[in-house]
Amino acid sequence: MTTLPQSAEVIVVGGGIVGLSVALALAEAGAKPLLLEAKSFGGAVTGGSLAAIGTHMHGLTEYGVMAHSCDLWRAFAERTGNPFEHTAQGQVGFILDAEGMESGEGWVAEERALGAPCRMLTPAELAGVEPRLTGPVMGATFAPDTATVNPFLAARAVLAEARAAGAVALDHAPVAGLLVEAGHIAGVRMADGAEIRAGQVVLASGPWSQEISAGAGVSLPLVPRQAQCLAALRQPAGTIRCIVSAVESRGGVASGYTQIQQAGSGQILFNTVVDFIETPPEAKDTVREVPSGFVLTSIDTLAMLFPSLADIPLLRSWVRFEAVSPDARFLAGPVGPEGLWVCAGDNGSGYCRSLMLGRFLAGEITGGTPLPGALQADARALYAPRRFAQEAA
Amino acid sequence: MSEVEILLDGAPVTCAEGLPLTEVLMARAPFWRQSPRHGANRGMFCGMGLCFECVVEVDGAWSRACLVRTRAGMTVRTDQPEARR
Repeated sequence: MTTLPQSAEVIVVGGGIVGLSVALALAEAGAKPLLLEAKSFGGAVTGGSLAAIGTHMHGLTEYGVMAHSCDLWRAFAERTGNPFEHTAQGQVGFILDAEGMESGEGWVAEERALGAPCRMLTPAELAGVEPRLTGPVMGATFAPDTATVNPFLAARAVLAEARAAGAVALDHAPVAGLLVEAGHIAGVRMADGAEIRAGQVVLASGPWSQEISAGAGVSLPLVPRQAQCLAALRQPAGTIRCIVSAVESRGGVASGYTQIQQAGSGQILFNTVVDFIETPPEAKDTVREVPSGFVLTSIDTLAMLFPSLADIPLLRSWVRFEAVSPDARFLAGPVGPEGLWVCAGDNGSGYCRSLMLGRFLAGEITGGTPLPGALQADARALYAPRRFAQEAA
Repeated sequence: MSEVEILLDGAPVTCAEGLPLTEVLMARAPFWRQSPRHGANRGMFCGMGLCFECVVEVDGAWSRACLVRTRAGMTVRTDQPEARR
């Protein structure tokens, strides 16, 4: 087993895409981060995600910082030779009824006013963009710049870059709690009782963040939400060209969001959050079965949108847990005792924000390489963890 | 590195502490994961917790063997027919 260091300048708790991005940005800013992952890098929320990188239908308040995050992903792919399948295949938001049409037109008008290259598609135009989407669709929104990355490979690429920049990252190193002395963070306590001293600690542990912070008396308003994904057997390349998503909550599979895409491997991936599934707190630490009702309604939705795919064999299904915050935005910034930071609350779309959040937080912690222009201040206002404390006060 | 004893399908097995459980399974219970068509022995698949192909019972709960490290006294059950012979 790896020998743990006794101290570090900054400790990042969590080796998903968010923690890895924070470690990368800290290392690039000249800090010497120590990243501690409880199990495998990217083996929980990150690896179970469909990793869309885009701004479409994510809300207008975050548009500026998210557009920058998309730029960071593009630049990262170029700089590293793109070993993680960054592909700008575009995103189609399918519309099934008049209410959806109104919603889609609203999104497109508002995003275009901010400079986004999105537009509406008529059914005839949609046939050219996504030929197999032949279900009863009235039209669609289209964001040609939305991309995907391979979630496993992108996490590994960020890990490799972080290590090359001077970060130390250890897996199978579970943090159990925080050390606080005289109102200042003093380090972390590992599951085996060992202590690692540090003047700064970043909690980037997704739906596990709250359990780690609670022992230090810091309550984070994050709740695990169960999401489930399906993968169908490999199909010829180009079977589904774009990311196909529901406009707002109108996906056909209860409420929540729907995302369908074809992976680089050829598998058809299908991700949906159905209505909040009641799960015991320890559910995220156990092996969960995907609810059979979800599988059946998902297949129905896929077959409704893509009738020619009705007979493709289902390969596998999996459950992951996203960290949900009350206003569906990340918590990124200082929280609790001096020296403690949080960067968690993906709400199901952490991948597209991760590189930006890493830069933002490293800028806050070290003062080096913050986000350009007004974006650092925008992110500070958008993601301030204390926004919830103020509401409660 | 210290040695520990674990219980694998009811039999005591001595191994190093802190090993990935998949390593012990591949060495001591190679039938733990099999292809559905021919029943041929298989190794790990993703090795990082995502595919759930390596699920076994550890101390009474389903666990992904690739995410579990060996520790003294743990009880592992593959429940494969080979293990019951």
